[in-house]
Amino acid sequence: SNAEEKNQRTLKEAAKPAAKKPYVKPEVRHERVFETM
Amino acid sequence: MAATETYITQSPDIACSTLGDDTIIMSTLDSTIFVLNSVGTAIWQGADGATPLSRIVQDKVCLEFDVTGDEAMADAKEFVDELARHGILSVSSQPVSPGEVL
Repeated sequence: SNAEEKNQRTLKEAAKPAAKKPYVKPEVRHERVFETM
Repeated sequence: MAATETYITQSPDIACSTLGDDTIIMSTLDSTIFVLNSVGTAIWQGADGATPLSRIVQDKVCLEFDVTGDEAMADAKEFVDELARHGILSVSSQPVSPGEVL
């Protein structure tokens, strides 16, 4: 049935590992507060 | 010989807040603001002084981002050194207990 099919699809999607985010090199930017003001 | 582990601890002289995927850190020593990107934030959040850097990279960076362990570790070491130079992170070869200041 449609409900069973939908349920199967949901279970399959839940079993998939979560997609990883694209990697970017860890970075730090910095600035002085008084300069910004 | 076993490789020496690195433990990282957030400085007590900062205030920080997460904004989206980024983290904004303000040094109370010289009023400097630092902004970390998403991967930097993942490392920063693991800086509890008790978890080795290799574990932070493995459990936070490699699980969340599409990267190899070697690349992530090399970048993390460089990143941690930079934060330590700015004085917002302490680096130690031993675990640091909560409240202990290096």
